[in-house]
Amino acid sequence: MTVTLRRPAVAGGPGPGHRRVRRRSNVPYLLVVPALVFYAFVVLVPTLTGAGYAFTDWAGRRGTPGFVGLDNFTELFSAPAARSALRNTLIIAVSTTVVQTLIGLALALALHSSLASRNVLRTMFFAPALLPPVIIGFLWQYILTPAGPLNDALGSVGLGGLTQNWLGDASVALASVIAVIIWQNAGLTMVIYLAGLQGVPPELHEAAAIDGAGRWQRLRNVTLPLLAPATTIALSLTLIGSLKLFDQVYVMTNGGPGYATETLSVVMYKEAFVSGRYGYSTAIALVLTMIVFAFALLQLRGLRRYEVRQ
Amino acid sequence: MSAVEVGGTTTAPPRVRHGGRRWTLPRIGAELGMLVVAAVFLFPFYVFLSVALKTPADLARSPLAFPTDPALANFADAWERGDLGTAMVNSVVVAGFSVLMLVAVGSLAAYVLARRGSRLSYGLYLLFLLGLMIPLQLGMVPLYQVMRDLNLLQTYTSLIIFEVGHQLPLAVFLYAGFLRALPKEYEEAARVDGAGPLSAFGRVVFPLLRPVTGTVVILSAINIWNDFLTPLLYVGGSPQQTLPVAIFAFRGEFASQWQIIFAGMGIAILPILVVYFLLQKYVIKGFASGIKG
Amino acid sequence: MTIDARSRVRRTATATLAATLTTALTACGFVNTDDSSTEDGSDDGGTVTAYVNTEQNAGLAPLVEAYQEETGTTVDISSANTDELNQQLRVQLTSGTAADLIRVSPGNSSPVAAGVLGREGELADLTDAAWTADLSDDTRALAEVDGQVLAFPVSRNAIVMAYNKQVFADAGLEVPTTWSELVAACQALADAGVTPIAAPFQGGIYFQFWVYALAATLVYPENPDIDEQLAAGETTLATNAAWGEVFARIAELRDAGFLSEGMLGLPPDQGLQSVATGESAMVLLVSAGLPQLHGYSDQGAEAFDVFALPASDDAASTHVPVAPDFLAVNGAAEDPDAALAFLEFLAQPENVEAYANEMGVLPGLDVGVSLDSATLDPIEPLLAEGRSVGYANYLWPNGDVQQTMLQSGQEWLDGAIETADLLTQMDAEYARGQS
Repeated sequence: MTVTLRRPAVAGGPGPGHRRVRRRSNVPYLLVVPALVFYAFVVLVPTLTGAGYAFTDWAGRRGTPGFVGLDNFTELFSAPAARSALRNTLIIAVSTTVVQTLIGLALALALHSSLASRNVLRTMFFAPALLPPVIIGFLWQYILTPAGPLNDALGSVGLGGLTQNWLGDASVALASVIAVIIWQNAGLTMVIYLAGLQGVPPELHEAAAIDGAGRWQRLRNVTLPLLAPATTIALSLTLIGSLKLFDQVYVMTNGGPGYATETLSVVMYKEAFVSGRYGYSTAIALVLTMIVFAFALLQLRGLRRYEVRQ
Repeated sequence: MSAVEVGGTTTAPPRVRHGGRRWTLPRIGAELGMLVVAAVFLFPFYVFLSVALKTPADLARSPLAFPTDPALANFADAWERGDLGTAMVNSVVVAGFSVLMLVAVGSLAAYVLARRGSRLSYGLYLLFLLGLMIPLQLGMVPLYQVMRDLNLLQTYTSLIIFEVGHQLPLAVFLYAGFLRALPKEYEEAARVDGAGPLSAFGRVVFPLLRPVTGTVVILSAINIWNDFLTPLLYVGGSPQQTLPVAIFAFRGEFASQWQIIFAGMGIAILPILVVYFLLQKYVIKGFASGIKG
Repeated sequence: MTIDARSRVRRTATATLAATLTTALTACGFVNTDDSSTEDGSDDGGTVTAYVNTEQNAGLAPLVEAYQEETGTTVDISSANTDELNQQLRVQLTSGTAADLIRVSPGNSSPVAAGVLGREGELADLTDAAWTADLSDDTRALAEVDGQVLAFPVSRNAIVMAYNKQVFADAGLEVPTTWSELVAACQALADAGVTPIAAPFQGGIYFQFWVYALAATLVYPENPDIDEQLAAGETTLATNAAWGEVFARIAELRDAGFLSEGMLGLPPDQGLQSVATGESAMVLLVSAGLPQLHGYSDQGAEAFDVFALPASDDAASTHVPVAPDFLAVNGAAEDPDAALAFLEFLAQPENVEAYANEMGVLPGLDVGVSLDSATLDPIEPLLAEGRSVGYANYLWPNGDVQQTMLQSGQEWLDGAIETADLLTQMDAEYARGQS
């Protein structure tokens, strides 16, 4: 049982890392065509067309915009506002990715159990992911106001010293935004891990238990390795999503107070729709895409190696 | 050839055994503990209901008091003034068709990408992955203009095409990730039995993908259900407008009718909450009767 | 379940699905028939399409109905929140899909403002319309580009100080008419344990009202040509004493503790609620926000009154900032005459009045309108005397100067930067917008 489960995890993966696998199944490439057509029509072609604007001074007007070469990029890399937005983006990405994955995993493990209320609990923990950002923003703005429920609650349990102006103090606003994002999305990570846990045969656990492995050891040596694909997916999706983060920040703080929570996506949005500098905004979008791609690729390679090792 | 036989084991799923376990004290403690954690976690939803169920004056006076005299009129108001009945049908049509096509097209594509161990398939896989990273804004104007030229603006079709293309990277990524962990032996056995690749996929692989399909369905359905800017651009103001477009029309520049927006949103998230609740049971059943490793 | 049973289920499902698909496709909604938007309207008078913001949509709805009955013209209105409208309108104009009548921002304040679009030649010239004679001076300045009128004001908004009457009565206060009286009133309220002024500055929207309201009295009456001078580079915000005074006034209130504590973390709705409950005494807001404030009190509008924010010790110098809410005719409209005819209809005094009363706003045109609601009565005398000016940001070269003011303004409120730094940053954006 163990053998059949582990081997395919090694053999199945696509990619240069697996070239040594001789046995290739002849699934015809024809099956990928419908997806490719949709994808090319909606994403690839429009994006390539739109990306051209990054090298122009397009202001969203009709007619042919002027070609400006790499000017937009030079400006971007020399603008201090963009640097601070980049820093915020990276802080948000790293912290949400780590914390959200851990919380999502913990929730999935807890709710993959025999708890009678597990179905209800799964729905409850997942519920925040169903709300659109405008609603999330409104709710949390209210909860986090200086005289709001959170500070009240802290005061009433004797933790009055911990009260903060959560979204209004430039030194804690970023952390508050991160916490809200994790609150919203931990349920998504949980769902991915729950799906992954369906592939962990309980027999393995029983066998390990008979061998005398404790709870923690079983988790470390049996469950986690088998969850490697789910981990790859959860980490990648969270990382990519948090690098692109826009709505929650825009709705909750609009990048403020001051510039304390401004992300690259928010700068990109404002340059386009407040300033009308679409060409420059497109350049930011391109740079953002490249940053995300670089991070995702690095992470994916690392995780793939981990999956293969398992 | 059946997925059930593949598992080769007749042991009852352990969950059944555990489910029949006695209600010991630690167990009750664990149940209650989790429920308390969940309740704290869901506190913002209490605020949500508080806004949706109170008149603005009540809300201002006692934002956190339990709505003893619930203003159900908010819901009726939202339903009627926002024409949410029509919007609900529109959202169901768009999300339903999009998700069906996503699952069909995305699982097939991922099957190829996960099973072919070639450079080409890895390149294609990365190409799809790139779609997760590209900000929507890059292609917004060109795609809008193509839809205009095809005379598809103000139709479901434009929105469905957009949503399928836009959510495909997520579907492919999820399917490919789980497919790689799925043993090949089952489908190979089917192929030996003379099944073509498509029928092997349909009869053996796809049923085994149930837990992922559940994940793909729920994640993409939520994204599509809540999508706002593109639907506003494509079908805003038309009879085809979706729920978020209808509900957020109650937002103003300086004053918003929050009680209507929240009541409307309460109506809007119900269907998807129910879908999730039902789907996760189905996914678990899928496990119990399908894969056993 | 055996695989046979399963595939039977699947076959049935597929068949059902296919049937549904065919039915649905043939029903409307999936494809555009040649002219789907006018399927039930009578085609005699043609069609006018309009893309407006949420507020305009609410105010126009009854008028549109009357107009359709009267003329047989179909008016096909779509609406969105101003933020999203600004974003989408730009895409639509570029793509040639914009409606005939569009909502544009005043002056140069956004990429879809009357001034910006006017200079690009996107808007139809409305100068010959009879109603242009009824434009007030502050509105005309924002509706004109190079002597051509390009926008029609459906209504006007004013920035006013709303206060809780009970709280003022409890503290034995009269409405302040000078800056000193305002400061004294704040002190009395603070002594009574009330937050004198709700300052919901999260996101910055409510902060800018303070800048415009103070500038309306301190900057513009003294020097009506300030915007020309700024544009010509003859002066800057940082070196202009009056502009420095605007921020000094806000700082005075902040340093005295008269503004809400934790103001940068206070969202607008909570700020309004605090005035409704009497925790705070007053809040500076645009008149369009008054219905929301009123809604937060059981007594509705009765619980509140408004006054013009004084900024100096000469009560007669107080000016009130006023902003028009514009509609413009798309230069590429298929039937511009139909759009112009609809504006003509809206410009009739009884319709100007109907709109203003429906929305509780100031009439867009000076046509001797009598308002049902007494809400804005306290500022009527000022308007009658012409003591109104446009919001300061409208004639800045683009939206960036304002954006910098909002964001750096929060740092300034927080004490992280000095007034000179803030104004210098705004000057830099101003200069960039000019080039």
